[in-house]
Amino acid sequence: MLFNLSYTTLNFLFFVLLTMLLYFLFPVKKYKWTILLAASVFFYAVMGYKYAFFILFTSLSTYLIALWIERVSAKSKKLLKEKKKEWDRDQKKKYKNKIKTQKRLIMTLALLINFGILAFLKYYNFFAGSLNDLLGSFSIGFSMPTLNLILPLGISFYTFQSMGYIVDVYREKTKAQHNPFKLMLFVSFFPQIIQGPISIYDQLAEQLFEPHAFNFTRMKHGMELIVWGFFKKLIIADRAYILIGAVEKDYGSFGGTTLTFTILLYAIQLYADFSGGIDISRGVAQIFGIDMIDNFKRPYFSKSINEYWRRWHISLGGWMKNYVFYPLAMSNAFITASKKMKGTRFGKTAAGAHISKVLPTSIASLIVFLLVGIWHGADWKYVAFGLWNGVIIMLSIIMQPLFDGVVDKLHINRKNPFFIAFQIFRTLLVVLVGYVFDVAPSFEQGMRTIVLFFTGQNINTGIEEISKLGLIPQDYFVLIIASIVVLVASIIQERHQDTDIRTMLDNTHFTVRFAVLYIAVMAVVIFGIYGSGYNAADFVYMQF
Amino acid sequence: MKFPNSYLCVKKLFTAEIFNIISTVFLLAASLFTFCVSEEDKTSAEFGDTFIITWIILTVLYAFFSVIAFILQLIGLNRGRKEDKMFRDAMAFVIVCMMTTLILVFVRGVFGDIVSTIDMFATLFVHVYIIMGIYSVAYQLGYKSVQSRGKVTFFIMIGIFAFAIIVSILPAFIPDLEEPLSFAAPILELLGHLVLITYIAMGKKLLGSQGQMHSQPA
Amino acid sequence: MKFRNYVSRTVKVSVFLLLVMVSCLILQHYFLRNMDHNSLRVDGFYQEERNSLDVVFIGASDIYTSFMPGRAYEQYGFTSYLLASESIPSEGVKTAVKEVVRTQHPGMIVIEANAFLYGSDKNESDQAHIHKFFDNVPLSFNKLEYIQKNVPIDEKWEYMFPLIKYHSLWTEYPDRLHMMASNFTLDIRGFNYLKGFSTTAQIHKPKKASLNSKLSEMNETKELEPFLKKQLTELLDYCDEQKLKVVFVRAPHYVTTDTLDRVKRSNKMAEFVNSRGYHYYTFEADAPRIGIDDKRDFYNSDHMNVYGALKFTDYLAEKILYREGLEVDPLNDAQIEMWSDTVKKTNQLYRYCDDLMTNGNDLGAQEDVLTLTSLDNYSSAPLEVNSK
Repeated sequence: MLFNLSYTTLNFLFFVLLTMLLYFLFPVKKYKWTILLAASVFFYAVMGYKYAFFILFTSLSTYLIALWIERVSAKSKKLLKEKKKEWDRDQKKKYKNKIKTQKRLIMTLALLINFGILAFLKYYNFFAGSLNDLLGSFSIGFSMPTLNLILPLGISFYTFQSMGYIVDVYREKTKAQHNPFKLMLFVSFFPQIIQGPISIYDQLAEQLFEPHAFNFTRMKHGMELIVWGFFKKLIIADRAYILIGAVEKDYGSFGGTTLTFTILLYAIQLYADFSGGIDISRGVAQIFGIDMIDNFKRPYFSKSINEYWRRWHISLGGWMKNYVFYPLAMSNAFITASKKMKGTRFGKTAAGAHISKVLPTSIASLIVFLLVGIWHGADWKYVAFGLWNGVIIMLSIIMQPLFDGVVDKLHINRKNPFFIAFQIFRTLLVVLVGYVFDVAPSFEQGMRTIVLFFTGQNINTGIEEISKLGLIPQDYFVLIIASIVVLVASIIQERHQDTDIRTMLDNTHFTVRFAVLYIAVMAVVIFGIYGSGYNAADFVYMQF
Repeated sequence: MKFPNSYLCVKKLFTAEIFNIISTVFLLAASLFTFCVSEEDKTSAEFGDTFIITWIILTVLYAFFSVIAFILQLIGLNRGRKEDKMFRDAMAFVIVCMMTTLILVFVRGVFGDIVSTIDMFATLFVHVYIIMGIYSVAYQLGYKSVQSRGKVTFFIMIGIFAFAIIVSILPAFIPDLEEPLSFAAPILELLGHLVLITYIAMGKKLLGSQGQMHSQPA
Repeated sequence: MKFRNYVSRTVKVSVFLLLVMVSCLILQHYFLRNMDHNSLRVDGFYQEERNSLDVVFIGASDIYTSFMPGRAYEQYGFTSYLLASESIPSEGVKTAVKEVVRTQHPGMIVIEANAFLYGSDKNESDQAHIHKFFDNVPLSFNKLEYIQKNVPIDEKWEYMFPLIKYHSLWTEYPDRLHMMASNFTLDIRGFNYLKGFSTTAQIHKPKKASLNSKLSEMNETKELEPFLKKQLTELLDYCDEQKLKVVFVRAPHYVTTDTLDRVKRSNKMAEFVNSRGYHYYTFEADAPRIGIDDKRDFYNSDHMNVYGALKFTDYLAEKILYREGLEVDPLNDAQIEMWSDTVKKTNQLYRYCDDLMTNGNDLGAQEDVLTLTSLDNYSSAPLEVNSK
């Protein structure tokens, strides 16, 4: 990169300030969006000009293909209108099917090209390595070469976002964008390019292109969200990463207690890092009058793994639901399979009837989470991560009546706080097992870690190892206090879901608001991990 | 009479500004005197003592009239705060100014520079809130001419302040400018007081007459 | 009322931003700062009244341990300051000269040659040595010029706002409290007592014999490191341009076979500087004439203790005053009083170090609260030491 415009740098803050000034002072309201486009282009050029070709290609191909699909639709409608009296029902149906196939082929072309680029750049070496290992185990001499491939900045995010747009155009949920520059802005909008959220065209585009006047409250809320994001990212996430990074460097040499502690810390670090980064993105966007999806809704308060994935990385879950889960679950193949199963002897039993009913959703969920796992990275451990979540969800869907039966038989009050606590704790355990595969360098190491959870605990060894991992007692103190602050804020937000903390803060006396914001800013200044004294942990999700 | 407390407040502020102007004149005189007298004369046997005594007298007079102005401001704003929160906020900043001025007697160096910056901003905010107090009263009485004059006065004060900031920062980068610019600060201060006093006078007239100004309420 | 609300909001935002800015400045200058004797020394220079110094000494530890401004004022009547920093790189020397020109206009600038005598240019990129000087230089065009030319783009902010680099120093409290107190008292007092002088109360116990007595006959030279020579050339060009009265010196060292190359480079530098019309005093070769006792006057091979510093100060001060024809400006009453305090502290420091060394206690002595408090137990009367 030319220089560092990462979200947690002063450079980025000045960049946002400059963009803000240009945007709000720009005299021609109709073209204010061009400032955002220029800023996004500049941001991408500075952060990764070498990869610019890929994002340009995706923007252009998306633009052209969406127009093509729309043209085919428009033409077909025109023709149908003309031939309304001439053709009979069968002819019309045949023609409509032909057009649908044609549109689907065009859409598939776009998906193949762009997902193909993503798959090649991200997964070729993984595929080649795995194939070589397999061929090697059969002593077959052939091996695929590994390539020195670059991974363009934000490719996973902008590819998913633009392909979602293509599918929406295909489904006629949205009209194709006729201005290539506007589409480019949608694809490359700088607050979300590094780590999302993955936006739906209808939800984002209108806001992007509409001119927004300066609004003090919106700017204030945006700044507060940015400060909150900095708090989580710099004080908690980057501090915790010092230890986690040290463990990752020599993972195999640590005992069970250290690894357990690391996974627990990772749970805090990952949430703080990802949600902190998203808060900064959303805060920046909010200053410009753009509301982006909140990607996190206190996921560690989830009572089931299903709920967890509705609260964690919400935009990815939403994307998968709209573009993978529903098409699969409602596809003819899955419905037919379900009906077939229902028709068997097993299908006529109570259990069989239930399973055949939920078969489409459970298999679709498994596939979705396999893809989610693969999306996270090119390694078998991510496949394991995806499968773990998918299998748990699949089993929970299938066994739901059994669980309900047990709860009813035991007369458990579902609203009992202890029961809720049990559900939350149970969900956390499942999530933590998934995190093992995130942290471990390989699938084998992940499995070893799980075994060590139960067999490798030694407090004294653990304390000795942990004390040498780069964090001093003061760091732990700061981590604990900051985590408590985030926890309290989350509890307050969880209890007041109809509003947000910033609005609640607006209703307090200005001295209270002042004090809270001042303490937050100074806490980031003093306790944040930044500057050349540290190797600031890059955003965990930036690699995606 | 509507807004009797505001009227008394503005009357006191007017008198305070007159004292501020007088004190600034003495400060300007001291600065000009220091600038105009050569280094040799300052330390010479014949003129050295005269220089020091004159400088001390001018500085003491500046301090004396400043203190009187401070006190009058406080008294006035204490009345005014009962009717408008702008005067209450102005009073808060006057207290901040007093504290910073007191601290500056004892500190130097970087800490002194920091306190001096706070003092500059607090002084600006006192003026801003006084202007807003009169503006607020004019708004409630419906006098648009006083309101628009208030806006103009506000922007002039901001402009003077911005200029004063530049004048105070420049010598840090170009030390040779320190002496020539040393009397720029009192000139700007004087200008600020003059601008403010004209607006306070307008406010005083408005509150005193209340309805007999040529600009009729809307 | 919209306008009123707008103004009210702007004021509140301004107050908030001002509060944050002031808090950061206070943290940066007093609490979260890499404070040591270098910071106190450089800070003290900027507290000196404008155009109040007759001589400014620039260089590394070689000069701030060798020259005692208080002694020079007491014996010879001229005011001076040691704008020096540990192993200052050549860029630091250049910037220091520019800063002196910007703030002081002294009658003479004395530059200790150390920065140009390294055998490689490694010191130029030594972050610790760079930061020890530049962190304490206030923001000025000279500093910005240095940052723009020499600092990588990702580190520029740290040089402008050292808080970015040092904000994590909160973990080192309460160990740093005494340095914080030293910093604060320096600010309140408004001047540096020792004018930059620092020393260590220790007597060098060398493993190798000194070559000092043979240096006056040694004329061998060794080429300067090319980058450092380029830096020296640029410095001399600047001095020519500004018509500065600059004198180069090389303070006495405990020279052994290990450090002979540096002496040769010093000789080469002397040739070069002389050819440009500037004087260069190789006091290393003059050590016997100065009366430097190799067995007593050093605390390590590179630095003299107070015994050596006293002798060297007298010798160098005479050279500056009489050989170089320094013009001494008169002082006003406040300045005379301040320098009187400096003289007293310097005398107390000498006695303090003498006491420590006599009792075999090795300790650093500098402008910090711990040292200054210890000095109260010692007399400030003129020293009855004949350096000749």
